[in-house]
Amino acid sequence: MSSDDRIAVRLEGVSKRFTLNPNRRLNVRDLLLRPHRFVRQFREQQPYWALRDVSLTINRGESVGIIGPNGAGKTTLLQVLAGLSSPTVGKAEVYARCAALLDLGAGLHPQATGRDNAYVNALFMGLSKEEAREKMPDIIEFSGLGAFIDQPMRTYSSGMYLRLGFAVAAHVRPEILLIDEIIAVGDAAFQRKCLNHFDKLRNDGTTIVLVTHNFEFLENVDRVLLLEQGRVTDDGKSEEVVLRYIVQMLEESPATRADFERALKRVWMPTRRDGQASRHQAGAASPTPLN
Amino acid sequence: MAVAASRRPNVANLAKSASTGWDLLAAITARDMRVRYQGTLLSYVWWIARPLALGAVLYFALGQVLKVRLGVDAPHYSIFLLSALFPWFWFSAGILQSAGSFTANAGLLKKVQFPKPILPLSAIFYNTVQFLLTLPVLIVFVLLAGIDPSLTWLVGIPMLLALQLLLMIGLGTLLATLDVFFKDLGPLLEIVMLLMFYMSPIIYPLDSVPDSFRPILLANPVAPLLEGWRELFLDGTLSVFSLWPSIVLTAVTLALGLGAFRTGEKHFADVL
Repeated sequence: MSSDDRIAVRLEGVSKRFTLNPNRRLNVRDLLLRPHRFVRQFREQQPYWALRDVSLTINRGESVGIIGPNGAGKTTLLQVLAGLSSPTVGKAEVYARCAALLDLGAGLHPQATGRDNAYVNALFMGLSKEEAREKMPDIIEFSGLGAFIDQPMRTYSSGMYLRLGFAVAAHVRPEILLIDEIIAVGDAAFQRKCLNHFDKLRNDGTTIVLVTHNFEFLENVDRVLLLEQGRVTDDGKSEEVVLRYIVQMLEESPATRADFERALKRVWMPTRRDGQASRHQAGAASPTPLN
Repeated sequence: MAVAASRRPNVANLAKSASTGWDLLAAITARDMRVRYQGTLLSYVWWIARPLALGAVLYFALGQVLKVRLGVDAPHYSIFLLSALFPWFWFSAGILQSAGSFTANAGLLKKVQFPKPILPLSAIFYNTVQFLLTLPVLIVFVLLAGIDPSLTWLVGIPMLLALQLLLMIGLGTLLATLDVFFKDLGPLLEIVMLLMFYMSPIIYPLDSVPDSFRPILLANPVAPLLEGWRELFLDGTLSVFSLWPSIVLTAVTLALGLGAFRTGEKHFADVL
C-alpha cells in the first residue's frame, strides 16, 4: 500500500449496508422462545444500501462540499470518512486525524456549563489537557456566548449550541474537519464567521468536508460532490456541480420549478412600488452562473 | 475490510491516546461531580443517606423485629449491615450506570471518534469517587461502635478497592457492550441486581448459608468481596485466600468485557 503523503482520505468501492426490519426489532425473547420466528425475521431483513460503490480520494488541504437530497447518504459518508462506521464492502483509508461536527450537542451535558462542556468536548476531539486549557480563551471568544458561557447548556438555544460546538471543532486543529449541515442553524453573522474561519483553516492546510443545502457556503470550496441514492453522481468544480444540480432539480420536480418561476417573475417583473427592493434582492439571491 | 492506516497502533500514538484518555476520563468525572453538586446542596448527604437509610430499616426489620442471630462472636448487626451496604451501593450503582452508558451516549458514539471505553469507565469512576467520599462516614460508624482501627486497613482497603474496581470495569464494559445489541438487557439487569442483593452476604453472613447453596453464592463475584469488606471492618483482618472466586471472576469478566467490546465496537455507529 503506497500511502501518498498528499492524500487525506481514500475510499475504494465503498458500500454501506443497513438492514431494515420489516416488522419489529430482533430481540432476545424471540431468540429464546420462538427460534423459528427469530430465524424468519432475520432472513426477512431488508438490506438498504446507504452508500453504493463510492470511490473517491480527498487530498490534504482540499475543501470538499457534499450536496444531495435528504437520505442520499451524506451523513453516512461523513461517518465513514470519520472512521466511525466501517464499510460493508470496499476499503476506507483515513490518513489524517479527523474532527467531526456531525451533530449539535453530541457529548454536551445539558446540566453542565458551556465552559465545562467546551473543555470536555475539546478532549473528546483528541486534545490533551494542556492543549485544551490553552485553547479555551480562543474557543470562548469565538463562540461569542459572553456571559452565557457559565450558564448550564439547557438554557441555550440551538444557535448557541452550534456556536459552542463549532467553536470547539474549529479550534482543535484537526487535519480533517467534517461538518454536517448544521451551520444553517446559526445566524447570518455567525455563518459569515464560520465561512471566514474555513478560509483561515484552509490556508493552514486543513482538509474540510462540508455537507450543506446552502449553496452559498460552497463559494470557496474547491470541489463539490453530488450524492444521490448512495452514489456519487457528480464530482467537479463547485459552480459547475451546483448549477447542474439546480438544473436537474428544476427538470425533475414540478414544484421546485413552479417555485423557481414564481421567484423569477418577482425578480424580473417587479411592480413599480417595490421595484427597487426586488432588483436589489435579485442581485443577492440568484445564483451567478445563471446569467 | 476497513484499514485506517494512521490509527495503526504504534508506541507513540498509544502513549498519547492513553494520556488523552486519562485526561478525558478525569474531565468527564469532574464535570459530572460538578453537575451533581451544583444541583442540590445536600447531594453529598443524599448519597450517604441511601446506604444509611436502608441499613437502618434492615436493622429494624431483621435485627429488632425478626431478631436475626449471627452466631456467638458477631457483635453489631448495624455495623455488620453497613460494612456490606456501602460497597454494595458502589457496585450496583456503578454497574447499572455503566451498563447503560453506551446506549445513553448514542449521539456521541455516532458522531465523534474517541476511545469508547471512556464511557463505562467514567460511570464507574464517578461512583468510585462517591464511594471514596462516603468511606470516611462508614469508618466513623465503625469507630463509634467501639471497634478499634486496625493496621490491616491500610493494606486491605486499597486491595479490596482495586479488586472491586477491576471487577466493575470488566463487568461494566461487558454489559455496556451487550446493552447496545440487546435492548432487553437494561430492565433485566435491574431485576438481576435486586436478586443479587439477596443472593449476596449483605443481610446475612456467608457462613450461615447452607452448604448446598454455597456454590451459587460463590458464582456471584461480589459475594467474597462483600465478605472481605465486612471482615476488614469488623475483625480488622482480611483472608486473601477466600477472595479467590472474586479474583477469578474479575479476570474472566475483564477478558470477556474486552473481547466483547473489541468485537462489537465497529458496529456501534450502525446499531445505536
